[in-house]
Formats: sequence, structure tokens, C-alpha cells
Amino acid sequence: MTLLELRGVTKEFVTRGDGAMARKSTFRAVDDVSFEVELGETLAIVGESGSGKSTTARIAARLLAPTSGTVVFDGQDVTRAVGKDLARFRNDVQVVFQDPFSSLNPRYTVERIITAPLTYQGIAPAGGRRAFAQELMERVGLNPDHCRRYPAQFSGGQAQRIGIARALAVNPKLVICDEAVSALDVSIQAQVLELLMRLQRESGFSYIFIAHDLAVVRQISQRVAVMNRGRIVELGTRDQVFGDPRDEYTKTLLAAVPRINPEWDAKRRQREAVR
Amino acid sequence: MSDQLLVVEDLTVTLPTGRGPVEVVKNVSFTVGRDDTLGIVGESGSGKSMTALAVLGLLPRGARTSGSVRLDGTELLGRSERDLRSVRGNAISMVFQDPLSSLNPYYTVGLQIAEMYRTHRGGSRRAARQVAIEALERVRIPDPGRRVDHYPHQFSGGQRQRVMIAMALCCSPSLLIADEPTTALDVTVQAQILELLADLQSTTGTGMLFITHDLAVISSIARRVLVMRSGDPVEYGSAEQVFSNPRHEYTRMLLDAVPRIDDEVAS
Repeated sequence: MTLLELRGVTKEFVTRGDGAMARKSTFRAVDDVSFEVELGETLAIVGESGSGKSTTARIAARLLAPTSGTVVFDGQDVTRAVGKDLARFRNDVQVVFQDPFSSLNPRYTVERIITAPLTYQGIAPAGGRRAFAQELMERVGLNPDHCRRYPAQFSGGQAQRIGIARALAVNPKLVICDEAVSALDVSIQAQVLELLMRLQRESGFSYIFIAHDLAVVRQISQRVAVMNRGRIVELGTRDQVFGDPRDEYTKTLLAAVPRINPEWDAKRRQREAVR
Repeated sequence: MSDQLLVVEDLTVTLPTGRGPVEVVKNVSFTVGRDDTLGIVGESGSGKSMTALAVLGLLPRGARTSGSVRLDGTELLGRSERDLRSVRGNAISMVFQDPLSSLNPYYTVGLQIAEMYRTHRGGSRRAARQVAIEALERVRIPDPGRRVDHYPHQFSGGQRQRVMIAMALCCSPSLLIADEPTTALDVTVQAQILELLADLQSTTGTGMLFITHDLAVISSIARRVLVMRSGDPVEYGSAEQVFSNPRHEYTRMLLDAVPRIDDEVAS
């Protein structure tokens, strides 16, 4: 079942050139982008800086309105939804951002942060907010006894778990992760990726996973869209895009990824296997 | 003169904090030979950058150091700021992560490279300008004779890092310290900068201390590797040994955590 569809989405930003006499010009950040996200799948959007991947994510989350094109969610055109329709959409679509600390209010306790989406949606959890927050904290691997602490009292990886718990509070159908593991150390990153995959298995929602790191994308996605200069240059299954890339830019991108010397890596794994 | 360019022995760095002094680098020892690249790898808080700053004498105010840092046999720890200034940029140069915050937006890149050169080597403005053009050419900035008069904002991120490398190499240092020089760059640009650094290093014979959190990057550029964790040296050996036969549990965990791009993965 198709959950979300972007049809011919374009986003232009008006820029002012340099100098006092500069003319206004438009910059096309997203150029005629179309894709679908199926229920329960993970679609990754990869690209370098300026590729338009984050702008696309923001349009999909209705945090930005497209210049043209439509966004269809669950069979409804939500491109210009307002009021109740928009509120319902926001209940179904949640976002996890890159920097956990700037996306969590430093003056709120974890309990208040996690239950904030309930407040906005006017939901009163059975059993009370404290129990609700603690249950979610446990699900994302946080100590529920810490529910009255503040974001600054957590490490980066733990703070990202708070952001994930908040996204899950309203049982979304789609979670958009915008570089959600990019700022984390590699060991923490692996744990948070594991968590994201486990939560999806448990709840069956979809991810749009925005990232610049191709190796990370390969771990988590079923399908991959590669963006360059505002356009999707290649869209296919994970194994096709990584194993048999057709677009020249995709090939360049894959070739540029630094790799651990494969010979050394193979030797190490043989030794590990013997252990 | 020893055959080692840089010898660091039992380096310990202590920083003052609100909760008393904290050892951020603990008894770290390593060497960098001429024409050699040592990679220091670690996660955040591992002390890898503090180690580099200690070598340069650029630690934050109040930091205390012990141990020994010798460049070409000369002790650097405990030297005066004035002495160190003649070392930095001259015998030891550094390239940082963010080229935009290391370049002055008000001056052309040519003036900034020339200033660096004249500070250490003197000479006329005209000669220094020629040095700047040649330095830009060496890092493969197209049309260096024209680009020398451009300002930092007129360069892309990758080109700015090339400018920083040009500046770092203009006095032909014997040691180059590169602290996460490609971390802020897109992957295609990163590949170009790594290739450039490796090329320049082998043609000039500069010793390099390369600091990063990225094990794949270390694997592609370093000959020898030091793994650090919470200020402690964890593992030190040839790149081949550390990557193919890690002795320490932490190194193994780190290597296992790196997402691979060429592996078979479960669907």
C-alpha cells in the first residue's frame, strides 16, 4: 500500500545576489521530484550537500510548502492541508532531526518532551503521562528512572533516543529521519541504527531516511533514491543501486566512499570467525 | 639527528575543569618518521585533538603537560611562546577541519599565504606573491595566477581546504598535522583531498600526523595507527596490524561498528 507520494515536486527559493544593485533570482533546490513510500518500508534519500535531500524531506513532512507539485498521504492530497486535516497529517508523520540537542527544549524534562506531541494532539494517555513516558523510554533503551532529567544530562546518543521516543509518542505511520545518526560516534551510531530497525519491526511504520553517508544508508534501507542538484538521478532497490548502479553520478559517489582496506578487513574477520 | 622526526613520550595533558583537573591525554607515546603518516583515530572525547594541540603548544589556557615532545631531537614541551611561534607554520604546520573559520574573510587567499611565508622566511611582497601562486598550483587550484587575488568566499569548501593545505605547505614544514581535514567535506571532495594529501606527502617527504574519527579514512591514508579512547592509548601499530589483527577489544568493537558499503547485508 502506498503511504506517501510526491508527484512532480519542485521548490524554488528566491535569492538576492551580491551588491546593492543585484537582481533577485530564483534557486531551484528541488526539481521535479517524484517518489512513493510504501507502508512499512524504508526509503533512503542520499546526496551530497546542496543536493536537495533535506528540502525534499521538509516538503514530505509539510514543514515547507512546495512551489509546485503535490504531496499525497494515505490517499489524501495534503499539499495545502490546513486545520484538522493538517493536524491529522502531523499525527501520522513525525521527524527525527540531526542534532538532538538543538531539537530538544533544554528547559523541559524528558517526560515533558516525550509527551509534548500528545499535548498538541489533545490525547490523554491511559495510565498518565509519567507511565506513558517511562514506557517509551524503556522501548528506546533509556533508563525510565531518568524521566525527570533534562536533555543536557544525557549523552548525544541518549539524546537522540529521546528524539526518537518523542517521534513515536503518537504512533506515526511515517518517521522522517533527517541525518538522524550523522552526528553520532560510530559505536553509538551502530546502536541507534539497530534501535531504528527494531522499532520498525515492532510497529510496522515507514521511514524516509535522509543521509549523506552511503554505508549507513545501505544498512537500513530497502529502496534508495540518489539526489544530485535537486533531481533524483537514480531510484531503485538497495541492492540494485549499490550493486549495479546505472547513473554516472551514483557510480562516482559510490567509488568515492572511503573503505577499510578490504584485504586487512577480510583477514580480521577470518580471525574473528575462528575465535 | 635521529631517524625519527617526531618523538612523543609519556605525554600527559591535564585540563582544569569545574570539578577539578582532568587528564584528557594519559601517557601517550608515539613517533612519526620522515616520509611517514601516523593516523590517530578515536571517538569524541578520546583526546586525539588534544594530543595534536599539545604537540603544537596550542593547548587551552591552564592546561598542564608532562612527558616529552621532541621534533628533530629538540624538546618542544615547556618552550616559550616566542620559540613555539617560530616552530609553528615553519617546521610544523597544521590543517584543521573547518577551512572557513581558519581563513580571514577580509583578505585575499594570496595575501594570507604570502603573510605566512614572509613571517617565517621574510623576503619581498612580490617574491611572497610568487610563492603563493606556486603553492596554489601545487594543490591544483586551476588558474592560480588569477585565483591568488580572490577572497575565501569565492572558493568552494573543497578548494578552501586546498588553500589551507597550500598555506600549511608554503614553508616546507617537516611535519604536517591534519586534524579531521576532510570531515566537513562531501564524500567526492574528501576523496580528492585525501589523494592530494597523500601525493604531496610522498613528493615532499613531509611527515604527517593525521587525526580523524573515521577508520576507513585512516585505512586509506595512514601507514601506522594509534587508537585512543578517553585519553588512553589503546593500540599502536602498523595500519595492517591494527586493521587485520587488532589486539584490543575496543579496536575490534570499533571496527565492527563501521558500516560497510561492499558487504553482503541481510535483506
